[in-house]
Amino acid sequence: MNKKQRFYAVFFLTTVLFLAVCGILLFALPQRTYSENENRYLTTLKPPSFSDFLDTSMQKNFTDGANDQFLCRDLWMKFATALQRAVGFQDIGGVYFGKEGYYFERILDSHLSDKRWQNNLQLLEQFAETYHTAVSFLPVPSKGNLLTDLLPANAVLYHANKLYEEIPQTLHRTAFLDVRPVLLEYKNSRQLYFKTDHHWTMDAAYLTYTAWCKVHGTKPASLETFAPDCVRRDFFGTLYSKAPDFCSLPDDFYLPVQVPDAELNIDGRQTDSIYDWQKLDSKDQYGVYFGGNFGRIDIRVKHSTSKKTLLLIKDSFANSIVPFFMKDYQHIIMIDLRYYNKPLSSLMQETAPEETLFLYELSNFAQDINFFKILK
Amino acid sequence: MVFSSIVFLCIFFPAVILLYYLCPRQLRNLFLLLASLFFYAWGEPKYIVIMLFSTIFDYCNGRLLEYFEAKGKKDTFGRLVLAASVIGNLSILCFFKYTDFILTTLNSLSGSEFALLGLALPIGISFYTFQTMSYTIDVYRGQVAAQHNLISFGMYVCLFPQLIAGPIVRYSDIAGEVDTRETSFRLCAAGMHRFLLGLGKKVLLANQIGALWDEIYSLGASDLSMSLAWLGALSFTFQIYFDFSGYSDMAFGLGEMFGFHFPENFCYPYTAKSITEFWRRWHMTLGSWFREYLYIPLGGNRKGRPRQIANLFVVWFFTGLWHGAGWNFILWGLYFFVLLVLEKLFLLRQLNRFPSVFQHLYALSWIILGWVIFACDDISKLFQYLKWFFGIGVAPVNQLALYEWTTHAAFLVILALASTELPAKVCASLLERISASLWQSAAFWLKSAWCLLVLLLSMAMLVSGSYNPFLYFRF
Repeated sequence: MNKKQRFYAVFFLTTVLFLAVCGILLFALPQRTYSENENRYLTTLKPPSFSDFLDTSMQKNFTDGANDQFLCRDLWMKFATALQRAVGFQDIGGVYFGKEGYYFERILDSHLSDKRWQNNLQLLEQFAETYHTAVSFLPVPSKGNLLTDLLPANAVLYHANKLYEEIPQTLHRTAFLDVRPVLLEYKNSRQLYFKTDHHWTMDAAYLTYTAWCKVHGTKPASLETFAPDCVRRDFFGTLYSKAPDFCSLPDDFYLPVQVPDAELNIDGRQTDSIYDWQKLDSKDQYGVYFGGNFGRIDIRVKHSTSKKTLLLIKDSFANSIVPFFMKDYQHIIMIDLRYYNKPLSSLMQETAPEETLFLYELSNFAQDINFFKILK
Repeated sequence: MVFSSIVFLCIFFPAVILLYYLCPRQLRNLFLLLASLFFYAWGEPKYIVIMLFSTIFDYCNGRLLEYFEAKGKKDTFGRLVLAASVIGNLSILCFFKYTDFILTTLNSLSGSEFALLGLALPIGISFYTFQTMSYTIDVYRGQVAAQHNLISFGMYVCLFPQLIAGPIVRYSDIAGEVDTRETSFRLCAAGMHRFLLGLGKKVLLANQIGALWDEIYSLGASDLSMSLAWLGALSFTFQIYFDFSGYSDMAFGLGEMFGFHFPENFCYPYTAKSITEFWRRWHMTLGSWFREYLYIPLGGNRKGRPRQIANLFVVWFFTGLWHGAGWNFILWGLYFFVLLVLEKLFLLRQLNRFPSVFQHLYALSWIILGWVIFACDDISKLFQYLKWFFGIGVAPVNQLALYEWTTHAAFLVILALASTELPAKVCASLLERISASLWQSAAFWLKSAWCLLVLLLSMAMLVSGSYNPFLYFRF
């Protein structure tokens, strides 16, 4: 090789070797099974086999595993986000990058089916007609619809106001509790939603609890009686996981620590705490409430002054309001229709709840495909 | 396997290129053949049989043609062999690609209920059947000598760089390089540059704008407006160009690393001033294939205007159909047939009188509208999208349009610039000056650094699992 050719060789061989080393490291480094950053299990590379090759499962495993096991995957992901933001993109993978480090779910009208929304409302009304229980519907506003001024310029979300207007048109026997006014009132003074997660905070849940009490003519316990405490200062939620970024700041995670003593039955498992403290050390920190979402959770409050039972049909947003409800109900039954597959009719017979509350984030409710189960 | 994946970039490619150069020269073709078969089998192991059949079939046809030529029976048996090859290749293509399309059309026309085959289309079948057919025809015409070595011929047909998304490399294009070819680090480095820039085109440009098209296409009328439909069409226009030309660049670069010189496939098609010029710059290997093996044999323009127009009709009907078994592809082909005929008859002469800005606008408008027809593979969706495109039933502007246009404005400027020759020209002249004033290899290192940056950014996008579609599964 003459001298002139040498730099061609240097460049070519370096590049090939760099790629080869990246490839070798996929197999040489210990396999990661879980990504804290993305809050999901990663694909691990399986040893090649001819039968897996023939049915292409090996190829799928390699294709997914190569991405998931790539050296410094989390760092590469942040670079990818930074690159996309650098050319001006304000949303990636269904997530808006809002102001002040706020992430928002990007849900458009096209993502919601009007038919399903109307259908779910009608099911709800039929439920109220069928059972002897005071039914309330409490839709939690979507983060982006409430914190509008923190969205990127011109960003679009589904028309929540239109949905809110339609609720009273369909619901007659169901009490509709609109919590937007109370939340809007405190929008500037309190942090109502996590920056990096779609969920609302303890503060927002407490404000909603006071609104609930007002409607029911009861006096809300003050927030201080629950001894709120910041249990983590490094909470990165699921929206962050979808588009991790270099400049995102973690959230403070407050919990009402002092809640009434209670006995819990979580899908058959007995426990005496509504908190699963171990979850605070995992990525799924929001799972600290009850350890996550389960089909049926029964909370029986000890020494309760109330005799009432509340049936709470809900999504994960309800988890953070339940600690407050424990002051006012002796028995709370939480049903998550995603995981609950027994007939609701026998549950109604068995527990005869005085009150039933449907608490969902609005877009979750509009998209819920399991709602038919309430009439089973 | 697709080029734009970590499995290809970090496992298959380095392994193959290193082993290839470690192989003794006489085994290199065999190694390339085996590597290519593995590459193909990665996506669909069972369909490898079809490709092998096609290879052996046309290898035999080539040998037979040579035999009959030597025996002086070219016009009798030779023709039979040629006919067998064309019919055989087209039958394979038709069976796998068009059977269900024909049955669906028959069912809907006559109300019959033929059961569909439901076959997955073997990837790259449209490319390799055209390549093997061109080989037999060229041997028949005496333009190339028949290949005697089955391994060399198999290597040509299955050669992985151009296997799944072109360019359509005719045997005559690389006949001189099949058995022996020059390789050098200079060629390898140039190939690497070309490959990495192609990768960037695909991953950094096409995929990113493709995600926007994907989003807009899936929106319902409630979120759409005319300007958003335009942005969608523009997105797809950029996506298909950077995806396809990126693939061709990667193929070209990989080819160079193994010592092949594939024909160029794209030449800044969006800078064309007419549709005629666009098709001279877009997917050039397909255009020349149809010209060489269909248009000219039909008589081309040598048999009078009416016959020429009929020939063009046939060519563009099949060009459309080649891109996919769907009415929108046929419509897309015929759309260009009409435009090209009009240009041939009078439009081109008229156009030349206008300023070139106007000519560019004219060509681009028709090209973009054409891509709408191409991209909407559901006819009812196509008509709906066209309505939105012309502002029927939707507002001219809505907030979502405003949002998407503003957040993609900078990126669209980058894409528009990258579609022209300007960046390449500016860079070339800059590099030349740098070389002249600094030292000789400075330009090379600058370009290499740029290519490596593109590689790192592309890897970031690939590792993070961002939108990365394969557009040629219908070809």
